[in-house]
Amino acid sequence: MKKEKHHKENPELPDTFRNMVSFKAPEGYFASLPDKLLDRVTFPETKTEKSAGHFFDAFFTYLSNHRLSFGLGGLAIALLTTTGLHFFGNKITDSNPSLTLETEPITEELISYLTRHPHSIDEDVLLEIATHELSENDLLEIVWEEKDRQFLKKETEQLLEENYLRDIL
Amino acid sequence: MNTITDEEIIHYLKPENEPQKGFRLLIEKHQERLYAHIRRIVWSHQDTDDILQETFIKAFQNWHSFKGNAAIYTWLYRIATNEALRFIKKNRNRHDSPGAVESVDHLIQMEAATLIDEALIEKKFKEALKLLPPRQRVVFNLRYFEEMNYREISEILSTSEGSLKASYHHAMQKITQFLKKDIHFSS
Repeated sequence: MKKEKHHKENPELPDTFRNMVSFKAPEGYFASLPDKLLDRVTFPETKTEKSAGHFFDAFFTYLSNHRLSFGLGGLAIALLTTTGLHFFGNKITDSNPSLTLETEPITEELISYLTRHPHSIDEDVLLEIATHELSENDLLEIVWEEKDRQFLKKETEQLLEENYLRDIL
Repeated sequence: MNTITDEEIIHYLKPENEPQKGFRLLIEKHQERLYAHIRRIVWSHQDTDDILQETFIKAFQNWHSFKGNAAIYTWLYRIATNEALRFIKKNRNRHDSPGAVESVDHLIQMEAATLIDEALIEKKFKEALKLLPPRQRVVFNLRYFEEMNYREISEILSTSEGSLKASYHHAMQKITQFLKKDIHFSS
């Protein structure tokens, strides 16, 4: 981490004070924390054979092992492809058309939008802002989602009143 | 000294590698600094523990969104700071009370006479920090204790450097004025 000398801007507070103010964690706290946290999260299975490539490898192996006709294999592939297209097609169709933005909104516009539509802000939005390096498009995607309006209105009004949202934006 | 690099952590955290190992390395590398940072905001160990755990859990759950534009610690500090400030808002009454200074038992245990001045300074300094509004306290902590530059703090708090300088200046004034009532120190 890059450090700057800042004696000049705070000549009245000796740097030595810095080392006098300490907050000590209980003995063994840092040794046990990683295990405690590892128990709290679920890790994705790393079985790569579940990937599409491996699936088809296994599929073709199965076909050759069982000496099934190419005709039957072709039919199976056609069925899989149709199912896949149907699935992803539905996903695209179900998405909100308003998400298709032609121009990149600037931050001021975004703040203005959020201020005018406080019902569209929720804790997920705040979490996203806090944890993600969000683009405006990403944020708008979250904002457009429908949420519990009463809860959001109350939460947002409080946040706007305290200027918290503006601070973190 | 933990010498693991950001690149190594990023590598291990990929789902196809060893995310469990990556998460452990992430925690081991950053836990002590984040702990100190959060503790200076919320004071009690128990609250710090809750917030620190929440910070790492959220970081892991949202790891896919870390695009690597900033250092990992900047990203973690941002999550931790927001979690701590949110916690203070939810527990406003408890944390606004200047009287709720943390236990100074460990100060009493100090026997050497030469440490009395330091103990007094520590006690008064902590009291002075408590007088600052939470966000100003965060700016002061990052600048004075963590010795971060304004650009880094700006990335964490998403606030302009000019605003941060003003905030730090006000914090410094309040602290020195408070300390000078009880402590004599030369500049």
